[in-house]
Amino acid sequence: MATEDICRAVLSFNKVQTAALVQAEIDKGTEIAKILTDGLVAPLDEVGKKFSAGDIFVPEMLAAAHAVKEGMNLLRPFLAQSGEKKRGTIVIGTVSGDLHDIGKNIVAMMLEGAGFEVIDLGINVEAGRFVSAAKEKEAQIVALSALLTMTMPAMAEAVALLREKCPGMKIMVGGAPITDDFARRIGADGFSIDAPGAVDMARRFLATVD
Amino acid sequence: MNSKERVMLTMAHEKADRIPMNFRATDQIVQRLSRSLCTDYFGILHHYRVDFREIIPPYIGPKSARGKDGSEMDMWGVGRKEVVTDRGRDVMISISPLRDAVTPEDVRKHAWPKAEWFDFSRVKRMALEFKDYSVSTPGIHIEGYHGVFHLLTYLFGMEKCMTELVTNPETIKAAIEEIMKFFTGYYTRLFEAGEGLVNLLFYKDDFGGQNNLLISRPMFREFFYSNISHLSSLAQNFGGRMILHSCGSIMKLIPDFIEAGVSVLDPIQVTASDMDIRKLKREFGGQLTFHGGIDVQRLMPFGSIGEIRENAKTTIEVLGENGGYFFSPSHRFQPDTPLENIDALYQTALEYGSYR
Repeated sequence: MATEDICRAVLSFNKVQTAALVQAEIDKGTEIAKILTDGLVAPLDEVGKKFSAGDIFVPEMLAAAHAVKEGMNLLRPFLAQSGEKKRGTIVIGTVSGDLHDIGKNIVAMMLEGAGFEVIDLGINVEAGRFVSAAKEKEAQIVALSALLTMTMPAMAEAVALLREKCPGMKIMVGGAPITDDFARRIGADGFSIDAPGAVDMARRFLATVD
Repeated sequence: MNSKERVMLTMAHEKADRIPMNFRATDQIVQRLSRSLCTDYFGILHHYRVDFREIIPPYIGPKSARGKDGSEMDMWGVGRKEVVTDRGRDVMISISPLRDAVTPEDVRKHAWPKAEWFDFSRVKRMALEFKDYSVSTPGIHIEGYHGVFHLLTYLFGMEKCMTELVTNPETIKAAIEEIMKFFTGYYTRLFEAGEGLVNLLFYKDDFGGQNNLLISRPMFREFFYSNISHLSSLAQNFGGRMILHSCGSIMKLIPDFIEAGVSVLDPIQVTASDMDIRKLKREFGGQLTFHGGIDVQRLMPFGSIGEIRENAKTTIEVLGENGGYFFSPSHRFQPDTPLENIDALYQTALEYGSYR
């Protein structure tokens, strides 16, 4: 019942209410994993589906992700100590030479909302930094973004370096000029046209990683 | 037939002698073209038979101090920083002055720019110099003139702007009101000073992304429709027309644009979803003139000369049927575009763009 109220708060983009309801569930002693899965991940999945279907748009998706983030911040300390198995760590960034980060930020937020640990390296990230961050954080996935046609070669270089230095790493790519075909040609494991698709892909990758 | 007559006839959906031409490119391309053609910017426009010119009233307002972090501040109080990367340089927004604004009051307290900060005294003289061309307000060539939605994302920051549209509409509306006060003053003075010689108001505001609208149609109607309608009426009161720029997949908003009084739609980003030129011409060609349509995301940087020629030919055939089309790239030519491709594009356009 109560996790459904959290759902409703997320779907009406109310972050204050979302946080209050999550806190109330924590105080009541509801299982943390249940609050996360039923209260936060489920509505954000619904939002993602509506976005991919073209029924809602970036403002609504971001507002819902913000509400989920508020709730997630309250859950995080418990998730860390409960020893619950991590859902996976993803390193994300915009490739070298590219300063565009709106799409990348939306993807990062949706991945966080889905319960992944997201290490956001920001913009203009050199290939070597993806490698070192992926190693240091023991990431399973690296996600690369590019908006400019001019920086697409930098994406190819980053994929090549990651392949060499981090064998077994799953790499996904995205951004306005990126296509499935380009992703395949540069040897990435996958391309998603939007943020909800990136979440689905990350889930699929992690299901096969261990 | 001079450029102005050519543009006016085309906008009236009649066949001129040929399709009017426009050009836009990043600074890097302009520099390389100038060197290769041994000319300056206006020489490039002349070389490609560009029919459009713009008037840029000089800024005479208060000098804005640099931001604490060295950012260059514009008159809206938005800070930008140049970042040099190993692929070139680019500019990013570094200071969004309304990022902490919560109430409409916070927004009204901001130091908003004034139309008096521009010198309109030489507009007439500049317009006379271009009297044979179609003359627009700034933006059709120059970078940096943005519409309401663009400015909101700069002022509040992209993420905050997007979420506040959902969760704090009153604060967003207060900012829109302030921005529109400036626009109304600025464009009224510019048209007045032009004494009938300025015939296009170029208004740039992106509502589409690569795959869909950035915001819903109801949200567009609630926040942005009236800005466009107000400015297009303003232009029409001075005998001008509005050319609206919106990148991305915007098919679903076109009926609203037409209802708001938009005469010309730019840039027809054909690589975005659903932006099929045949469909556009069929459904809206009777009411709208199209400007753009030549892809700069894939075709111009990566296409072969053959593909470019084929594409230019098809675009002209489809969009140019019975007038109603201005030939132009769908954005600035990006720095990775080979100059031969640009040359081939305009050569083809001039070859096939003739109605005679």
